[in-house]
Amino acid sequence: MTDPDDARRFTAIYDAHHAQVYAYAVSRAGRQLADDVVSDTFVVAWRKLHAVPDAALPWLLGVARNVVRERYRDEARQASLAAELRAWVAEANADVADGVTERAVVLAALATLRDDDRELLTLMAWHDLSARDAARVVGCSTATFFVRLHRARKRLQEAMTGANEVARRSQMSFSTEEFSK
Amino acid sequence: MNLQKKLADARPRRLDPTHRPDPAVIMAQPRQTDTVRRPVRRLVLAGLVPAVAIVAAGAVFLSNQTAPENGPTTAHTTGTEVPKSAHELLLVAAERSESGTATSGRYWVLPTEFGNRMEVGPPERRYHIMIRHSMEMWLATRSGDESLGVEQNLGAEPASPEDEAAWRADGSPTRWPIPGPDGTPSGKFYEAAPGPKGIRPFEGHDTTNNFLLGGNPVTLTELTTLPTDAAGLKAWLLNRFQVLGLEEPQDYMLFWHAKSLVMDLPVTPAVRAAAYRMMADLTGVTLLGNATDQRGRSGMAVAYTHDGDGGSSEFRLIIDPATGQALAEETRNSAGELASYTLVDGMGFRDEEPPTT
Repeated sequence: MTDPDDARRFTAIYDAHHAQVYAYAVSRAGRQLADDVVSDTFVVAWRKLHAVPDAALPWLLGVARNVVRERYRDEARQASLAAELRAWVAEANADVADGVTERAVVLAALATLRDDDRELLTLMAWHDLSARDAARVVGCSTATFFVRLHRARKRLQEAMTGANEVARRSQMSFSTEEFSK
Repeated sequence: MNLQKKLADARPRRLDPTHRPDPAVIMAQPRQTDTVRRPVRRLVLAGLVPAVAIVAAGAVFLSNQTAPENGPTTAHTTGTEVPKSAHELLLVAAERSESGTATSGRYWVLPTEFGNRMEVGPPERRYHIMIRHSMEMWLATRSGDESLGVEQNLGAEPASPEDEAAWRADGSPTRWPIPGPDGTPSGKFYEAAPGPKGIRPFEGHDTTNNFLLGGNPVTLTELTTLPTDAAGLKAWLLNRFQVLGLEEPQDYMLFWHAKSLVMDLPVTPAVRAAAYRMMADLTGVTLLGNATDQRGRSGMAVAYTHDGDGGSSEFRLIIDPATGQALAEETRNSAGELASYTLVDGMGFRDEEPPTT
């Protein structure tokens, strides 16, 4: 027996944000586990519908964050995430026939970062959050968030110098294979 | 292409869902929380996120509880992350500045407050008072418009507890005579009590001399053509020093001018960011840590120590790391006493007419 207004509101929230929560879940736990994470998140939203603010996305991502951390604490998540990060680089490399893609370099570098750093960087770059909302999702002050973000960017930049070399080398070996056929 | 853009462009397609599961399945879940409650963990994140207790029960079912208002915080997000060096703080401020949106307007409005420590009192027992006044400057960006300031004397008081004791010994005066240029009384007084607001037109001001960079006039046109990279900005400033014949130590001048750019001049966010980045590479800039300005606003401070004729002074810049906004500059003498300050509160462009009364 559901209140029709509740159902309408929940469906609106779901439609507005389902894809964004899914994207966040993939980036934190891999595609393998994403559907479950999204489902868990929206069950919480359904049960606590009264607590969901109008600007629902940061709230939903905060819940998803909890879900990822609590439900997929170790091996399952590590395995799923590692496969995901590799898939990103493979997808980027497959996009371009020749030459090293910038995207592959970025994604390869991103894969070497700590989980926390990756989350900070992608909350704004991929999940479209403002800095203020991103700070809310990770649970720190905006000022702290900026300091952490600055450090994460620096580490990404450093990783990219290294990743560029790896990508270049792997692309070169691909070319020589082609030649020898 | 900068790092932010590269990162945004690299967003994998795998992040996008290929289908939309029917929400009806979720809405079929019972909403009553009288299912078995097992208070396994309580997680509270700051801000909007509610407390949720999650039990991994194999299926999608979750039992949850509402947390009390002041629930415990998860260990790994407590604590404030502070910049470790002046260099880092200034780079953070640069990043924050550059994401601001450039705006323009008829007037550049600069609400400031100035403070100065003055020596007063009888010859046998001199002491110091801090005199304060506010000045909200309306600086015209269009030729033909008048510039003015809304000023107010905010009063004066003994600068320290020791000064207060001397002031009492002096009979607790509510005003102090201002000496003239030759030391004899000028007939004017510093007043302890604040005065009324008044309008002061800036005579002879136009868009070529309205704005001061490091104390010397700079035109609005020059400001709009400043380089937006740190190296370019430094070269531009060094050239300016040469043209103007400024001979103070180079790093000190660069710091002083960068301060103008971030604190009170109508420049683009990119230029402000460049100024911070230039500052970050100067030697002699140290991180002081958390600081509050004379209005009680909190931020982080960097300091530059300058050895001048009157001894060494510490020049402090207080920055809000969250916004990249420079809040205040303060000068301290070699004894660490606050000698003067300027703070800026709410600068920006405005299109409306300046106040007339």
